[in-house]
Amino acid sequence: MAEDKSQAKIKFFTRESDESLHVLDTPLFAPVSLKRYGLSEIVNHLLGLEKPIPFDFLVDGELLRTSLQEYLTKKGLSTETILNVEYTRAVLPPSYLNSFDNDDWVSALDVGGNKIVSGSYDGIVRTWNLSGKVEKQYSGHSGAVRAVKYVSNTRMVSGGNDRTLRLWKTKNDDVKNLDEFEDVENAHTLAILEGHKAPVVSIDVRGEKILSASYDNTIGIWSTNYKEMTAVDPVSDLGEKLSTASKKRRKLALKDGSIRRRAPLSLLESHKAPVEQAIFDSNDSTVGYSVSQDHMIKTWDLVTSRCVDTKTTSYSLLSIVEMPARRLLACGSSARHIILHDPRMDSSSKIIQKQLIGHNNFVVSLDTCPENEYMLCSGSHDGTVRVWDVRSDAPLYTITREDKSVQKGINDKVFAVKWAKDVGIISGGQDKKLQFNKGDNLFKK
Amino acid sequence: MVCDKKDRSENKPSVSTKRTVESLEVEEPKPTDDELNVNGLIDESDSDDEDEDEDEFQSAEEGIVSSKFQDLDESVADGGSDSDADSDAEFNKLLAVDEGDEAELEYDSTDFSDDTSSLRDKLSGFKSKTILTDDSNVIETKFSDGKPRIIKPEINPVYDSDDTDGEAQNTIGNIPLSAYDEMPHIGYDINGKRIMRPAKGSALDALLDSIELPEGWTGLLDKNSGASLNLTDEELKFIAKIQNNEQTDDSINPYEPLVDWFTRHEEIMPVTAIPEPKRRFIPSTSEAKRIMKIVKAIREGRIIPPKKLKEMREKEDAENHNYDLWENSETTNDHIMNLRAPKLPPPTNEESYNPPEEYLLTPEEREEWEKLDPSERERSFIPQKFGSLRKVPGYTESVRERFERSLDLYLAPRVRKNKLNIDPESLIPELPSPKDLRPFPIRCSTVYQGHTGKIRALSIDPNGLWLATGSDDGTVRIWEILTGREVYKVTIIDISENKEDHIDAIEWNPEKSIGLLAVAAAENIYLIVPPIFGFEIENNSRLKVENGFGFDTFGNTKKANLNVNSDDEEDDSAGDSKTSAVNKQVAQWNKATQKQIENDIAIVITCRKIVKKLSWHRKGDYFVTVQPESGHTSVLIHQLSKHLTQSPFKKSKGIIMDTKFHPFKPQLFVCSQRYVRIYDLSQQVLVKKLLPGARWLSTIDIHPRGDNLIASSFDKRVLWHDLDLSSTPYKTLRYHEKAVRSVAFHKKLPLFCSAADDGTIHVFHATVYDDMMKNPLLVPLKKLTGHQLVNSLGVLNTVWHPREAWLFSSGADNTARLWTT
Repeated sequence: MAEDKSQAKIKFFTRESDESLHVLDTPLFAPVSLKRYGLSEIVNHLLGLEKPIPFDFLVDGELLRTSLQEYLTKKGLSTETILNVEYTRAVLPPSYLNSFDNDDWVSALDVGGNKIVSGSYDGIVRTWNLSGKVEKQYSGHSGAVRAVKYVSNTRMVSGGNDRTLRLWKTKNDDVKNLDEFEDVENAHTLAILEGHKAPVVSIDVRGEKILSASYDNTIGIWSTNYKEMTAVDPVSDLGEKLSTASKKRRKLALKDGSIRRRAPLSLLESHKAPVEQAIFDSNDSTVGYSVSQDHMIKTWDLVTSRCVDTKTTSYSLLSIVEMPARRLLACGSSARHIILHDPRMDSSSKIIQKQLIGHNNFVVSLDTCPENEYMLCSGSHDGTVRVWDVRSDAPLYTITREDKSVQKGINDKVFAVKWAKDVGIISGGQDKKLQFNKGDNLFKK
Repeated sequence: MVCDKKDRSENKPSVSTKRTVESLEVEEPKPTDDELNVNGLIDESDSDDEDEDEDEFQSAEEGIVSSKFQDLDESVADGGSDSDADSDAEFNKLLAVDEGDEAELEYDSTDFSDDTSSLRDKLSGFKSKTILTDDSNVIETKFSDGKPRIIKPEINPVYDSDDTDGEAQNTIGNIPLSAYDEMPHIGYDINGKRIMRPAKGSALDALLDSIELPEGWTGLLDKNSGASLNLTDEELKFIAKIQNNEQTDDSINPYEPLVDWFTRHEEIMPVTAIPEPKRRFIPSTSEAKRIMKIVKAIREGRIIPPKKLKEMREKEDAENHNYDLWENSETTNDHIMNLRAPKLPPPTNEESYNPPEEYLLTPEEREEWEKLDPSERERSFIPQKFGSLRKVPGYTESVRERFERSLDLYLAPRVRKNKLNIDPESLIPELPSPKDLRPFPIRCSTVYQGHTGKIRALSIDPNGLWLATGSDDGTVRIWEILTGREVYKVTIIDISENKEDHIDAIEWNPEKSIGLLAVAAAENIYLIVPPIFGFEIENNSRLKVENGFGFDTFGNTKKANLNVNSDDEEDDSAGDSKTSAVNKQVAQWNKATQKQIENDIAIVITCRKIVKKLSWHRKGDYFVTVQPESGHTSVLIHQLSKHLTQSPFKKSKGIIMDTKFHPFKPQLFVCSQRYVRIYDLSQQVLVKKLLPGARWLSTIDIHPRGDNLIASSFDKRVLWHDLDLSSTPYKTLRYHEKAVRSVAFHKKLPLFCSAADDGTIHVFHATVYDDMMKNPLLVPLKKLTGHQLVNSLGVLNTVWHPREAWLFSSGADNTARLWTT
């Protein structure tokens, strides 16, 4: 400590539930040149642990990424004041685990019931078990699948470029051969949900309700129970005004006409440009949020199907996720950053709380950490998945594509990312891989 | 004259002073002119006598002068004597004329008529006073110390009394006046009486005096009396005369009649009657002698006449001629802009015949030196050491060095450069920072890869979701814009069969409710309904196309066309009754074959020549195509709803490069190689002809408000035309290094871009103001680089996203790119 003259008065505290990690809150002097590692050593020394635990440190709710000296000069604080430094278990790097091969670009991911569900640009929804085996394939979409969502152990929903959503029926313990899938797959389609006029790009499920965002500027509300929705007669519309070529095409398209078709419970129309994602509020299933290419974040009252609130940013927004504990909406934008926004703010105040800057291209997919309320991960077209702590404006870790065939800037786009408990961070994209990174127990050794 | 006489007789030392005063006051006696004359005659002898008697020491010269000029003029004589007088007294008189003088003069005049006898008395009395001291009136007493004291009687200040001096001069002797500063008097007279200080007046008076400045005021004080020294009127007049360059002496008449003593006219009567002497007529023998002497010398050659000398010199010069090398060289003028040749640097140690050891080259260095090309060597010689100067061999390089030096001086132009001291920053116009003009495309976000030929055409669908590209590989592909996923691909041209054919233009129908893609490939225009929109939109699109068939087949159209054309209010062109007859020839609308239907082609329009450009009208019913090679039918307007093709022009207007519809008016912009013509389609007249001044235009685009136009040219220029202004460009932008291929305005945002063969896209901000007086504001924003050059082709086409500040570009490197904010 003799090498640096200036010292700062520091008081350590923690919010960790583990009593053994608490230290006395007596202020002590620490040299200002210390960084995270030095402070971590001090805390470990104070705790007297046998095995050192790496800690991260927060000052005033902001993650300390520099030395204390730099922090003080940046904030314009003197060394006289007592710094209340909070320490938490450090986040371990999300190390690469393994990859599963897919046939085509991976466009959507979800995890449920010990299975991984992936949507692909070849129009097939696949379920994988954790060892990387494709358990089931659900084909039926005539275009690329853009969104999949696990509903329950027996239900699944997907949406795609063919402008429809499909409600799938799954059986948990299906042990049929892969060969047989071709025959039985379509039988799994419970219902085709028709109503959108442009690709369906995102789906969210809460309880019995499905929220779908589409490029036709609308958001559809559907039910997981097809009986609740009105049926659609596939040949009823346009009866006579069919063009010669279309007639034939229509017939072809309706070859699976035996499947029941359902109309949406409601279509929310307020956006002026393609809607990129719509989600339910985590606490209140009657509230939804949506982001669109028209730069807006809209809050919806799903009961009355009305737009309650509109916040305008200056960029096209491509993804949204809610951080329930922090009451924040994180929106990925086409301008390469993530906007943190509090939906409770009235429209007069500043919309953007904070920007997380680091990506080099569209941020198209976001997910929150199941273990930590402050953390989220983002997938971007720049070929990386980044792990963020909202208390710091730079990414904690950057996950790149591991596959050797990936060429930077050409086929490394990440389209979907999912941070699931017990599985980790799954990301899929243009490299036709599902990449797994360690995402749970990041706080343990 | 009386005064004159009196003065001379009385006081010799002051004679001259008196005379000056007299001369100044010549006029005074004039009223009694007769008397004066008489007196003068009388006095003449007297004065002369007295001169001789008493004024012995008077200068002889004066005497001469006076005697000389006696005859001429008395006053002149006075003046002559006056000039001699330069005594102190006179000077004092000039400076300060005392009251006493005037008083004296006064009583001079009063006693003017006194007898000469009394005058003589006075004179004698004076003489006695000066010479004799034993006057009866003198009281002899003793001073207290016993010395004799003589008290003289008061001098009676009568006429002729000599009190002028006494009055003028202080009698205190050589004591400075300051000694009496504190006393009321300034000294004592000869009788020991106080001489009182002249009245000074109060300080206020002095101030007033100094302000008023009485005439003749000099500001001086008399050293002796302490009174102020003022100039008299006479003196002032005198000075004024001097200042005016006038004669100071009134007795001289400057305008005397001229006596021409030395006249050029020969007098009839010679001055002398002496006849001319003989010697005037006979030659001089002495002169003859001298001439003979010279002649002899010339003959002997001792004297060479100048003419001959010159000849000789020339001859001599011709014999031993020296060539003047610099004879014809221009003389160096000593102008300020002339630069002298720089001097060679003086030799250093290295050049010495006996340099210190460290300057000598080691063998390695020498080898290195020899290896180098002579032009690359640091020095042109090798330092060498000689024991003594006499061992130094002749310098072999001297001629070459002189030659090189001369060559250097000849080849290197020495020019004084005029440098303007202008801050280059100040010449740049004030432009807003690009940061304030966001959003605009900054970086490449998506690369659309898959084509195997260069992409000449691209178009974004009106909803901004699907990008269609047409490539030289004969395919049209449709991409998801964000992900870059190819969602649809159709082969239009089989390039293995038709290698020469290209897809030159591609454009989505601007109507949002249908998805119809017009593709111009070789002579054919294909309308494609790609199966990506869903049944409803595709059906609408097909219906739209098929409705025309009904129209076409109905009543064989020709006559119907005629009527409909004339009814049609807006877009019907110059095609009148004749053009409809031509229609069948200029373009043929054909139903798609079975194979084409499988390729989603709805209809095929076959033109006679290769279609290079295609542009939809904003309502989506008409589109205009350009077939540059087909003469007056270069521009064709096709109507989708009627399957009708019209050729609006009867005459060819050069090779047409591009045409576009006005964004909202029924106008058509036709761009030929040199000009852009604007036609009103409803009135079928030429509205305006623009002269961009470029040699070869490539494309044009029209500002969404319709009052501005940009044109790109193959000679690297981008031209901005304000249609409200003149027909010449408002701005000519030259920043591309190669031919500009494409320009495009954003439909909603104030942006435009230009793309060129140098592989770059330049993005500009362009605000067009509502105010007619305000010129458009153009700000360069960003240069986008990323496209590779292939066969010296770079970016071939650009198109803006309908809503966002996103730019799509296609290039010769087989890719299309999306540039986002």
